[in-house]
Amino acid sequence: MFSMDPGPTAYRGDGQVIAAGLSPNTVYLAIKTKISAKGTTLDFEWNEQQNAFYEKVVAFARTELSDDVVQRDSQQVFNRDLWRKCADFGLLGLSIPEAYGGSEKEVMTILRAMEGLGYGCPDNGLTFAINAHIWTSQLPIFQFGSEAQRQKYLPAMCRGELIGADAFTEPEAGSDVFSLQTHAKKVDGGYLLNGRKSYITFGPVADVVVLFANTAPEKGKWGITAFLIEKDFPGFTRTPLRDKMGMRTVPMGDLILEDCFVPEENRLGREGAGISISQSALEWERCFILASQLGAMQRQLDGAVQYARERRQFNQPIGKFQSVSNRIADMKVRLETARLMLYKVGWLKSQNRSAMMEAAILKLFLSEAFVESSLDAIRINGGRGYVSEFGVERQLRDAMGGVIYGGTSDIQRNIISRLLGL
Amino acid sequence: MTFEDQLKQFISQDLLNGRVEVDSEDSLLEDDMVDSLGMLRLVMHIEEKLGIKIPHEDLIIENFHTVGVIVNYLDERGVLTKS
Ligand SMILES: Cc1cc2nc3c(=O)[nH]c(=O)nc-3n(C[C@H](O)[C@H](O)[C@H](O)COP(=O)(O)OP(=O)(O)OC[C@H]3O[C@@H](n4cnc5c(N)ncnc54)[C@H](O)[C@@H]3O)c2cc1C
Repeated sequence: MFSMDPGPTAYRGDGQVIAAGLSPNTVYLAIKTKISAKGTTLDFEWNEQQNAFYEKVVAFARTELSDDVVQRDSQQVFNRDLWRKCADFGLLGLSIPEAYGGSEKEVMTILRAMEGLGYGCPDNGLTFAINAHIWTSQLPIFQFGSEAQRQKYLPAMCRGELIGADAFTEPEAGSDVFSLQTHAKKVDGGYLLNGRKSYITFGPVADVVVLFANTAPEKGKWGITAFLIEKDFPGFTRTPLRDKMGMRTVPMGDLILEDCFVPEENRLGREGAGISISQSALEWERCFILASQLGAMQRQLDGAVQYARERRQFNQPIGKFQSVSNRIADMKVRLETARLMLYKVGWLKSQNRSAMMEAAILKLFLSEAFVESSLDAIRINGGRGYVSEFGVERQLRDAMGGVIYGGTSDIQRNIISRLLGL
Repeated sequence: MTFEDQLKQFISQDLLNGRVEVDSEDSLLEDDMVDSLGMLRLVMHIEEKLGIKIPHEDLIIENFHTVGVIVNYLDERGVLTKS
């Protein structure tokens, strides 16, 4: 799936297709049919293993992860049994090599699997939490951790025994995250940390937190350093779960550090490497959390089509009214546009190429598209869309988080325009 | 043009929109002359020009705070032949 050779015979630098006979429209067609011309390939087809794994994930999510979600959402319950099931299935180890307890798969396979998870599992909070655990806790430990840190945390995280969180945001440092105030003072054998972190996914239940603090405030953000905080460290406390709008099946809370001693061996990477650790984690997280959201958008569209066919008013299915079918067409256009962007970002990452601009476009477009389509789904469902028991309105509440976490939509627009030289 | 001159040109024209002339010893990171996004663009530029990958853990102020320091860092890694 997704081999693309952007050689000079295929594209100009600006992405325009110049290979013989290929227009941008034929490139779109290539999504369905593989095109080969003069050594140039554009292949959007998934291979057999990727498809088989996708189907397996969808089936697992539908049978094992779908119970009780309306009730758990209403009561804000995180179900640790489901977490263990995901671990037993192997979902938590997809990006980690076998030596550390995982079953490392290549990027596009994981991306497709995460799409399948979002499609099969109606609990968007759970899929969000799985991705946060994998990309912003496990992966930084694997990429930047010492051998001892990898051995200590990763196998237990893959088995679902340890839950990971990442903590950047503070009461006074949200979008301007690098202005964080949490301070790490060097002391004998380690560091003393003081500060507070806000809105931390898994904050109330996490066993290990990748937490960012400044070791050298005089260097500004270049003094930011990552630490691995264990839940039992003295001086580390957390607030109880915070009531929130969406993704209510995953707990969120604040973390408080009061003279919290962190041993030297729990520093992640070098002093001052915090910026690159966080940027790297964010790029991965954006891509894969959004893959699960894409799956959720597909599930939402399927539900809307089915309902528009079955629900009858004025002696005909409501889907026969253009006001309804146009909304569904718009949902489909958003879904397929987002899909192209997602696969492109996945492909760039799989080629180890930078995806800064593309990831910002993807994050902005897909998260806003999910909100728009969730509104459309509610309208299509009428009163049924408004009450909680059918799960339609929950999609909107869950989707709203996407335009805030990992950099708000405004911040994505800033990144895009900055990269355009503005 | 040496790689050092190319870097100065890229920073002043592309990252700072031609607003500031950059010298080899000017501090890029203090006072946010180049912010974190600019820094990532600079790293991408270097990677593209030299066909290398700079390890994430090397992105620290000690390796990147002036053009001169960047050139030394690259030289020590053996990816640069100063002309
Ligand atoms: C569901 C969810 C899960 C989260 N999980 C985590 C987590 O696990 N770990 C963690 O560290 N954080 C987490 N967060 C926090 C999240 O990253 C921040 O909420 C986010 O970065 C925005 O910061 P803020 O809330 O302080 O808003 P602010 O930065 O105060 O923004 C308020 C408004 O001002 C706008 N704004 C701010 N600056 C600019 C600008 N320069 N240009 C244009 N507009 C601007 C914003 O777009 C927004 O509309 C989570 C948030 C949510 C909603």
